[in-house]
Amino acid sequence: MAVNDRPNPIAQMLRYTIVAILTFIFVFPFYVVVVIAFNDPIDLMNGYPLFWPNIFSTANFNTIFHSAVLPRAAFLSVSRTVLGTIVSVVGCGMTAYCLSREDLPGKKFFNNFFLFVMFFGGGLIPTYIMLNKYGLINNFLVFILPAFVNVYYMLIIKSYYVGLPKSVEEAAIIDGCGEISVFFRIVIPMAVPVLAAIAVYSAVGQWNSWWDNYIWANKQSLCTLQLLLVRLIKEADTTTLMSGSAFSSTTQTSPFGVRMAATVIVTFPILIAYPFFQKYFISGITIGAVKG
Amino acid sequence: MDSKQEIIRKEKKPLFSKHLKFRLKRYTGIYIMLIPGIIWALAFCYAPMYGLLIAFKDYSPSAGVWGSPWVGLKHFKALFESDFWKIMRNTLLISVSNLVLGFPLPIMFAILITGIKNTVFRKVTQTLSYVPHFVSWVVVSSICYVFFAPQVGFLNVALRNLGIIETSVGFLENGPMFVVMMILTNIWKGTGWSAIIYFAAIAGVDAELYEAATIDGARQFQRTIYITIPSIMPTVVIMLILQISSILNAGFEQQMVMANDLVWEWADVLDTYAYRYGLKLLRYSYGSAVGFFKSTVACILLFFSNWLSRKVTGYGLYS
Repeated sequence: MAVNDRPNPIAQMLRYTIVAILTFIFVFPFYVVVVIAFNDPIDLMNGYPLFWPNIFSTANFNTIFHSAVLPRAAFLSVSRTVLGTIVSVVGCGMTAYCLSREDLPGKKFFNNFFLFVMFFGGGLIPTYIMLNKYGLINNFLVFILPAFVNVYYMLIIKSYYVGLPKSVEEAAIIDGCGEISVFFRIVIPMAVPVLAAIAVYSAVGQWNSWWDNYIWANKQSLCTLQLLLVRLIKEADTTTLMSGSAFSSTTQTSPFGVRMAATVIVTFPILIAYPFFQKYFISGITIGAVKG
Repeated sequence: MDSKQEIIRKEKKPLFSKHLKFRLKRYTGIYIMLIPGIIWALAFCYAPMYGLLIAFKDYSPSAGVWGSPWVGLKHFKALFESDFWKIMRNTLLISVSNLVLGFPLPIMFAILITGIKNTVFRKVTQTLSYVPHFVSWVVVSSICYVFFAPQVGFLNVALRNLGIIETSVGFLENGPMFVVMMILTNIWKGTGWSAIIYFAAIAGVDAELYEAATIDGARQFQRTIYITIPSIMPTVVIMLILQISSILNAGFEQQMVMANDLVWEWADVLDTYAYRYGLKLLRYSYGSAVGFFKSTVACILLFFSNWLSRKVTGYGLYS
């Protein structure tokens, strides 16, 4: 290329350094959590290790794995993630297909019907009253049913459907396919990338969701992993407030190590799945961006 | 030109009759497929909107939404006479700080990272920068404690060791300090993720522009200033308008898990207030009034920003 294309070495160095520091800031906190989780709980009362455990121990994890609530919480977290994702992809996928049909009579009305939901909402308390009426309060289905359609996801899928080449669909229709079989035989196979992206979004959302659990299903038997961690945090909070410091010498073992171990357990599945799903979420966000 | 296209259009027969009767018949299956979505919207979106009526009533669960007595603007009056200004101050303080500090960072990050020549380094840093987006606020809150807790938190330890402070600072126990922490965590969580849209925008810039500029003698910095930034300006404007439209969203999950009684004075925003005073204290009507106010203003803001976006960039947000 041209003569001047060689970057200024100092500027380039600076660029690398800043990006490296920023990335360090993004990732390092996770590392520290793991270090603390593997530290001896009694030693934690003297302060937290930063780069390597002072005394290596799996006691924190043992405490959690021996707790009676963990298996159920893990099971609930996994089930709401799996079920919620399936329901959400099916719901968004098929509703988007209906709204993407070009000459559907009443198309404009239906589009606005769903769009309006993005502009205006009932808010927390009316939603609570309605969920209560449906019998969904303290019911596992409160995690699943409201996630059936997510209008934002649906619009992403819809704009992807609209962008698919029409000629394939037309050929299928000429060959005798109805609108429904076009959906199953033509559109779904072609829309796998966007459906995968939406599946990833809803799976992460479901796994990370805790406030619906906290507000709408706050009974012990419906406690997911996230809510378990919330409780560990809140309990430490109240002891902090009552005794001045939860980490005073009167405490037997620091609950802090257990909290960090719980944090690791809750984050672990995301970090494991991350390399596999990261290519999908990028495609999802750029598909959304094309439409604007 | 036009007449020519007209002819072509006339020559191409539509696949099906455009007649309404035929279309209705052809789309029967589609309508059936649309029913679950409509039921969902009615049950989980429109029914709560109907439920908002209780903001103008004294709701009692036994009488139901329709049966409760009307009280006009009583709850709105009560709201404006009590905590409204405090809540509004917190909401705007948090969201405006988030906007001012959090909005430019992803743009700068994207520009910095795309200028990196080493592909492996670029890919790895980029991928790692999204990780915080994918963990829940619960996890973030838990991590926060490690760094900002009183006594033993790393920041307190470091500041004590450096002799900057003598006694511990309660970063998470002091109202204004808590707001700073909220904004910091928000930026930490969102910067990498928000940068994706700018990565895409920068990748879409015509490479020939850069080549031409390079031949004309522009250095990397000048190419950034004169090509990259103007080219991604439409994206920036859309994102900015989008952000402004959600100015009343000043966090909910974040406070719910991170806040404690010592900081609510500063951390309470419209959403959390509706929950804490409406749902928890069972003042359903009062909480709904808060929600009604928020929803209405948010809706106006969204329409306004959509209009503004169309005006400025030619793109609507949802169309």
